[in-house]
Amino acid sequence: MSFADYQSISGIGLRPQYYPSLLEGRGSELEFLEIVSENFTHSRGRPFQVLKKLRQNFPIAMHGVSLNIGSTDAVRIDYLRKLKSLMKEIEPILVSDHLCWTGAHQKNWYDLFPLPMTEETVKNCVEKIKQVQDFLGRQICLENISTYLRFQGDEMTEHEFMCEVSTRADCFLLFDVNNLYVNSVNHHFNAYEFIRQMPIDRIKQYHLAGHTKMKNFLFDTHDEDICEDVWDLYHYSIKTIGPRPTLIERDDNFPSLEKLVEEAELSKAIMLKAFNQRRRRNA
Amino acid sequence: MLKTQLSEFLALIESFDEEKSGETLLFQNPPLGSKDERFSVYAEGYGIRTKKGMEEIFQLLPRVLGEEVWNALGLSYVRETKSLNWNLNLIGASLPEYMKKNSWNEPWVELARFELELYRCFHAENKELEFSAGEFADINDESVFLFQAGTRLFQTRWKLYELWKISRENSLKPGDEFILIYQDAEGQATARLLPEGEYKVLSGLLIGQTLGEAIADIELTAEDLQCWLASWIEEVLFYKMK
Repeated sequence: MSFADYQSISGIGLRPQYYPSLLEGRGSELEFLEIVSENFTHSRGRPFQVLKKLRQNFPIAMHGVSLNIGSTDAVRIDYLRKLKSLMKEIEPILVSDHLCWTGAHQKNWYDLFPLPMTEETVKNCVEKIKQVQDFLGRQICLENISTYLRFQGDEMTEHEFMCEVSTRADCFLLFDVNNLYVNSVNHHFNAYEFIRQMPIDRIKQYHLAGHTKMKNFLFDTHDEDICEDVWDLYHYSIKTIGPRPTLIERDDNFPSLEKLVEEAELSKAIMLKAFNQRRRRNA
Repeated sequence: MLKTQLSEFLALIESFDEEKSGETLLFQNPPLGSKDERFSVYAEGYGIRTKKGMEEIFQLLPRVLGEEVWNALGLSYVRETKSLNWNLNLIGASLPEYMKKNSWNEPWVELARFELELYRCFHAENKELEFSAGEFADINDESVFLFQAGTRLFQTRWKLYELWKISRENSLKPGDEFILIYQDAEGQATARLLPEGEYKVLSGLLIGQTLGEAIADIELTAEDLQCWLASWIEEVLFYKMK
């Protein structure tokens, strides 16, 4: 697979609901699968055996939810050990988590909480990301999260925050287009302008997902189809930033595997179209 | 400053009550709706997610207790449990101990313990077999068996197996049960009832006794033993014999 081909791969999140179909050989159009890392750091039973079987046919990306990179708590070495051990076994194409915090005072809240976007937070994140990357021996990607509130005293915008953290820590970004859309509605800013200001070289992957409309805001639920506005933003991202491995994320209200494959193939078609246009322009 | 902000955030979650419009200065006013309305996503999220995580382990217990009691139990448990675990699905791992400590009825504690064992079995790493069918004939009093990580024994004074496997009722009847828990060929956790004698022999073998030691005080016929051994091999309860 050439670099250009690799940049344009599309896949879905591996969830137990799809184990039987994937083991039967359905979904062969998919070019990679993404796991929630924590679901495999403890288990060596059936889920892990399924993962090992699927690994023979699909590249795997590891996506974590408990790195807790923005917290003032220290990095958990026991967690990193488990992650590293899983990395050795799975040889993932990407290792990612979220630019957020998930707990403090040594209690895990199992949520992706927003961070105050300040110089102090940047410094804290950068220091911890460096520790993580040193320990794991590779660069990680961090995903922009959906948020519902902004802190008083924020000193920078979200894209400035992401640029500062990723540049100073020398890590990569996982750009979740749905999260950007949700935030642009929830906090009233221009998502297209945001995309134009993203640090292109830092972005290693896209996520696409659905959300739920609440009365006064959007809620990032991953239980709906990807909406037209998010597809439009993705299209614009591909044109502006370029193709990157794209993942269709679904965590509830699961449709058939074929339905998710359709969405993955649509993302692939958008990437290939943009790639061909760019090639024609450059020819 | 960051530490204070994160602490305030968590304190707000712990004291959250949408009726009292918390005029926190921690957040900016959102363009639409209230801070409370939006903060409820975080405040209520913990209970929703931990409940879902616990139901990965406990599938029968919520049905038996009924939604209201189950929700109350879950809520009090997660409030008092400081979970350091990064895997949400393991948040319920101390529930049986918590229920026991808080004087819950024994049958429900036993059911929770049983479901936790099934969950642990499901996630255990079973090994490839390291013996052939031919070695079956070599089994003797000196034989020692190395068991799969998924193989577990469970003894209780309540008819758990009946409830788990057969009954659609939501009550547990008293009665001794000896249960074998193991991974089936598909890697799913399953269970079957054992006669007391078989349970005792397996208990001995599981702690490393030789076959001779394990059967020493048990009344059984050669036919019984042959039959048990054949089942254990078919069920792949162990991966190696010495």
